[in-house]
Amino acid sequence: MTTESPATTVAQALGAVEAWRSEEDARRLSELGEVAQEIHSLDAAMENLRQQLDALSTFQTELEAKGADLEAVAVQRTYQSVFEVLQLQAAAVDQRERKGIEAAKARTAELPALLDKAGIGSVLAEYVQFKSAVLPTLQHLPESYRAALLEVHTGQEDKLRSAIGEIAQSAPGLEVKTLEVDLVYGIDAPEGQPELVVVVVPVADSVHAGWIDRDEGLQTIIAARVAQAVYQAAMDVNFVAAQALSGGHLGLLAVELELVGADPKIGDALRKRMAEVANAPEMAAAKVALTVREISMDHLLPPEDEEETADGE
Amino acid sequence: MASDPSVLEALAPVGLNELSRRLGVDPFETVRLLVATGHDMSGPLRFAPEMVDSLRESGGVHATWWDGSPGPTDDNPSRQRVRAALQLMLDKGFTGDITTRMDNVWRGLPYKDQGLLQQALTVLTEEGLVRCVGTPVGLQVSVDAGQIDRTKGIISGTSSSDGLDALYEG
Repeated sequence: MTTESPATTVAQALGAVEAWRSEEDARRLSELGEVAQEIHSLDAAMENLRQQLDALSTFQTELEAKGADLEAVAVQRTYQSVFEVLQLQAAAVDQRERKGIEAAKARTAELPALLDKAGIGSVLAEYVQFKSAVLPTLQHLPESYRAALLEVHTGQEDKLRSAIGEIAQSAPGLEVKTLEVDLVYGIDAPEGQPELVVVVVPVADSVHAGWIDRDEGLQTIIAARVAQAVYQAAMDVNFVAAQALSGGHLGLLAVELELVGADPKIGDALRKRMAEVANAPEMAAAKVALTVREISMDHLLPPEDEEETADGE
Repeated sequence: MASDPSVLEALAPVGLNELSRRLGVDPFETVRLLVATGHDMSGPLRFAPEMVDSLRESGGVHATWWDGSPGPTDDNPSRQRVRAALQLMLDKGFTGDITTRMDNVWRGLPYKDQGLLQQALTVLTEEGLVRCVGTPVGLQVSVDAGQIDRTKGIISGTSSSDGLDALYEG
């Protein structure tokens, strides 16, 4: 800024003011330009931050939703895994059953020799002779003679039955490795009161559906022990209306029992009786180590159809 | 020495399936009867042949009711079977509190008819013509004492029920 000498005329004074004004205005406009640019930069930065915020909020929402979905997917994966394992185990149980049936048939074929070895081969021979040659003629005998002979015959029959029973009981166990098998069940109690029990048995569903034509074996026994547990539990709490239903699910036998109307203690009664299935004598004979496990009903029921879920919304 | 398999088979204890075949009920029902009658099931599930008669009596298991008689004339075989079954229930006096095992109604019939009668009795229970009661030895049924006339109408073919009509069409 130059030090100017004071104006000596009005024209000079006006000129000086005009010059100052121009200078100030130029400075002001320059600063305005800088401020506008700064504001624009900040606006852009804010917009960028706003977009980042929106993206993060969306991601946050997705992550929260994933938590709920994760639970549903976990349930579905558990259901699939459980049934895949049970199907494999059912196939193994089927193989074990075949071995057991073969061994039983072989033992039956050996029965005459085993009875002979037990010292009652002659009893069997006499029994057969009496039954075929003498029994049909008894009607011609006086009552007291007939009664005496029948008493002896019945006694011999009892001896043979007892011996055959003992031979069956003392049959050597299968020479196989122990088979680990699971028996799973769920008790549905949405309001605290048990309403339904579902048991999935590691045997083919045809074991019960086709029972009438089947040789009896391990699979029949496992299914029967489950029925025993269910009905014994019902009896424990005097639930007379108990009616077990059976069916197939993914090729496996499922047994269910509605519990509505039963004493609330039926849940514990079922747990106790189901645990006993593992100790059935046939399991040890077949070298099957049965683990009885209660799991969530959600893991036994197929996932809801997504279409149905959409319809229900 | 005698080695006739049939002799030895007759002396050997029977398994659950064979016991059920002789009894005429499925194995789960046999197990239910064993539980209800307090049979000791701690040992292997092998049974003396005499158990059949014992369970038959305790469980009220009848031999088949069906003697091959033609039944009422009806161009619908399902309806004919249901009418005949209801007639048998009335003939045998199973009304009101006099009940019979539900499976007695269809024992001895082909599987298809067993399923049909099971569904028919369920439908008739829902409609109030038949009473169905759970007992420790199994489901028991009878014609409701107040519905005998209506049941006779179904038997004679002069009436039916919506549930039965739907069943016959299926």
